[in-house]
Amino acid sequence: MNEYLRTTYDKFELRVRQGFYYTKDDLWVSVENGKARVGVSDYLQKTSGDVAFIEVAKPGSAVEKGKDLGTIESAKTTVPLPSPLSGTLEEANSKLTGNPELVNSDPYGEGWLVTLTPSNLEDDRISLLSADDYFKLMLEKLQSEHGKLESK
Amino acid sequence: MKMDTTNQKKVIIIPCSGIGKAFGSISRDATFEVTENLRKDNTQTLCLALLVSGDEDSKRLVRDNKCITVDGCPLQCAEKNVKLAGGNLTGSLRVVDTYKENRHLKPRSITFLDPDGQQMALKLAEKIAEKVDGLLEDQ
Repeated sequence: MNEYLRTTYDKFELRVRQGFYYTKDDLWVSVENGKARVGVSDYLQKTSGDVAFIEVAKPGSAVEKGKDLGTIESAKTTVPLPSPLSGTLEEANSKLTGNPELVNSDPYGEGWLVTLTPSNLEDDRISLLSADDYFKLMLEKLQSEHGKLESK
Repeated sequence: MKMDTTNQKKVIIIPCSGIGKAFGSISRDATFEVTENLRKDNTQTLCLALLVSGDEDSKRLVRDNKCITVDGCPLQCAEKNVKLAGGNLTGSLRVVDTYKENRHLKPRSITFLDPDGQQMALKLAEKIAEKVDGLLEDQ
């Protein structure tokens, strides 16, 4: 299995990491040993532009699915980040403090945003999308928002 | 005090060639502001594409003079290519860092800089000029 599902739009290649869950708001979730790691998708970082500011809830705080987890901000836009899961925020990625551009350069890796201890993972997971389903949604967004698409 | 520029080498300022983002345009506007206005006697600019294509005069220019690169985005193509050409890189600036210092400015337009973009270019130009002054003092 390839690590990524890929498509091209204009000069950009857009990737969706297989094995992760996704929200309709373009965040990804990776669950391992009961802990969830959250970041933004390649699509979101590319359409947002160069990220200069990241604000997320404080470690130890309770977060609620669909409610404010934080924001990413570029010169182009400020994007609110609805939490994909309910739970307790364990850790914010300290590397992003001085290097918010990691969200752009490695959205599925070093550019992760936070880790959470989910409080209701089984129920919350039902509304998350598989990589395949998110890939289809991303293609629809590209089609409707940008109008031209070359799938591979 | 006016600086004596006799026999001084020039500082070469190389902006990125980024298109599709306002930050690329800002890097070039800021560079022109320095080379044509703020420090026109002590600086000159250079076409990055010419350097990348291997032009010998351009390579000699960046090797024989102190260089400052001005990149629009974190990919830093200008800095990377001046290094690849063996240039004497003495400073590198990124538009995104000027944006971090001036969060209220939201440049949007690419083809012609809007007022926020122009303001950011001027702020960046001042930073470049400060760097130039530091390099000239060291000479």
